[in-house]
Parts: sequence; C-alpha cells; structure tokens
Amino acid sequence: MRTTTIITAALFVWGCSGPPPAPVEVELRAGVSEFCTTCNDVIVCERADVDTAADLPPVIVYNLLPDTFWQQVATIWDWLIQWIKPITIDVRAMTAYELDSLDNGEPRVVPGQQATVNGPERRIAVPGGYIDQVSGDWYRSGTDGDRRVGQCELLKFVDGLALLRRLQGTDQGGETS
Amino acid sequence: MTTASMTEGASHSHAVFSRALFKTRPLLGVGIGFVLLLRILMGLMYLGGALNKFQRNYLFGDYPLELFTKRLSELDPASFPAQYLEHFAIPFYRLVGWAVTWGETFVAIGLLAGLMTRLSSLGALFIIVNFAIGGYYDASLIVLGAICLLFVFLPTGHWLGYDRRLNQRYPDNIFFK
Repeated sequence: MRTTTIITAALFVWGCSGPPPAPVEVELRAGVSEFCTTCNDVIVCERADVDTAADLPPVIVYNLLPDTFWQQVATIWDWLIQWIKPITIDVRAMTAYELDSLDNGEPRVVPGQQATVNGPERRIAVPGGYIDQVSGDWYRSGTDGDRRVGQCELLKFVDGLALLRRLQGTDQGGETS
Repeated sequence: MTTASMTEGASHSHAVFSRALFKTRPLLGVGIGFVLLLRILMGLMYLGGALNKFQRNYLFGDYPLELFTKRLSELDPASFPAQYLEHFAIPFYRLVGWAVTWGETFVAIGLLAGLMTRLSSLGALFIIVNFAIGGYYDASLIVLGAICLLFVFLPTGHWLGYDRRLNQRYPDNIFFK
C-alpha cells in the first residue's frame, strides 16, 4: 500500500509538472468536435459558382450522425489509453443531402457515408474532399491537388434540426434517419 | 479501544487478495482480481481527469465557463441538460470547477489506494450522474456507473487497500466498512 501511495503521488507530480500546449483559440466556421459522441451535426456546403466543379451539386448538406450505443460504450477504451494515444481523430457515420437550392427543391439522399474529423488539422474529410474547420472552405481533392469549390458552415443545433426535418420530410430517396 | 474490540474488528470475513487466495480458492482469486483491476483502471481514469482539471486551471481560470458555454450551443435549448448548464453550471462555473477538480482527485486517491473505497465509489457515481445531466451523457456512462456500483456493494478496499487495516483499528467507522 505504501507503494501504491508513492506511485499515486508520483503520478500527480508528473501530471502537474506542466500544462498541455494551449490550444490556439480560433473561431471555427465548421467546428465539429472530435470528442462528441452524441452530437448530430449539420454542415451546409454551397458551391462557389456554376463553373466550379460543375459535377458537384450546388448544395450538399452533410449530417454527421451520433455514435451508436456500442460505439459510445467503446469510447471507454479510448479514454483509458489517451495518455498513450490521445484522441485526435473521430470517424462519424454521415448522410448527405444533395440539393439544387437550399431554399427549395427535393434532396437526393446519399446514406451510409463517413466523415473523418481531424482535430489537430482542423479538417473534416468528406467523400471526394474535405472541409476546413477554421475558414469553412470546401475543397475537392483531385489528381492535380486540392481545389477550393465552395463554402461550408456548421448550423446551430436548432437550425440544423429544422433543416433536417424539412429535408427528411420531402425526401424522395425513401431514406429517413 | 479495548483488546476485545480490536479482536472483533480483525475477525471480519472478507478475503484478502494474495497468492494464498489463488492457491486455496483460485476461482474466487480470479474474480476478485478482475474486480480489483476494474477498480484500479477506474482510479486511473479519474486520476487522468483530475490531472486534466489542474492542468487546465479549473480552480481559478475560466476554462469551465468556456467549455459549458460551448456545450450549451450544441444542445437542444429546451432539453434538461441545456437548462442545467444555463441555470446552474454556467452561473456557478467556479463552484462546479472546484467540485469537479477536488471530487475527481479524492475519488482517484480513494479508488487507487483502497481508502474509504465505498465512499469514493459513491463520489465517482455522483460525478458520472452530473456529467450525464450536464449535457455530456453517452452510453459509456451507463457502464461506468454500473462498475462504480460494484465497488459500492463489494468490499474491494478490504480485499486490497487501506480500508482493511483502518477497519481493524476503527471497526465502527462506516467509512472503512
């Protein structure tokens, strides 16, 4: 027991010996947390103009879904080993809604996708590209490198929920989440 | 304290986690060993949490306020966790910061050293419940809460910890039962 006391005290001293590097505080236009397991995030991405990446729909609404029950339980392991392997990346199930216009139009639902939230790089990888969390810039990855194709924004909870309800109510793909 | 009471205190029936236990009752030894491993892991988890609180200056800084405010923006404003944050955690963020910091510290010490183990486990459970109602609920808290209940009902501090020795010295003290 004396050993346990000494080890516990040593761990405290070691842990308090210095603070972690202070995270750079910046405003995030598409700030999705890599730690949140119950968040239901809605990011609206709008293409810059008709000539930019014409094969992309004008608007894509990315709905990053909450983790399942067992995925949430599994995070116990992630938190346990975070001293060895800090949590920096989170892979989220995602549904995309492709639209001609945000104000009206019926969406084409693309379920079963994945988004990767990278905390240190402040990026959200989506199919075919990524979103810069700081600026909200939407990039398309190609053989000639990454190209900015539009602008994204994370909606506040209430606004995101309202948009999802509208999209799911007019869904013609038959998918509802 | 009389010799009789000291003898009474020493004659309790709790097993002691030792090599002898594995020789005489190996299955019980494995079971107790598993529960003790869970206790140590839970203690380490709370130790990590406590260190994080000291490093981020929960006691004297404004980090808790920033964290709670950010979390509030991710929740349904009409939900109970949002109300809890808005009307309690945010206005009293300094008090909550102190409670969480010292609470996690004493829980970690109690679980790792087997000192006032049942009380420490109740403290751990209290912290978990407050995380859940404070907007940080996910399914992992159910599992963690169930594990804490295990330590409340089982004499793990007597199997391995200071509680055994202290119970022998102070048999009427409920904190060392």
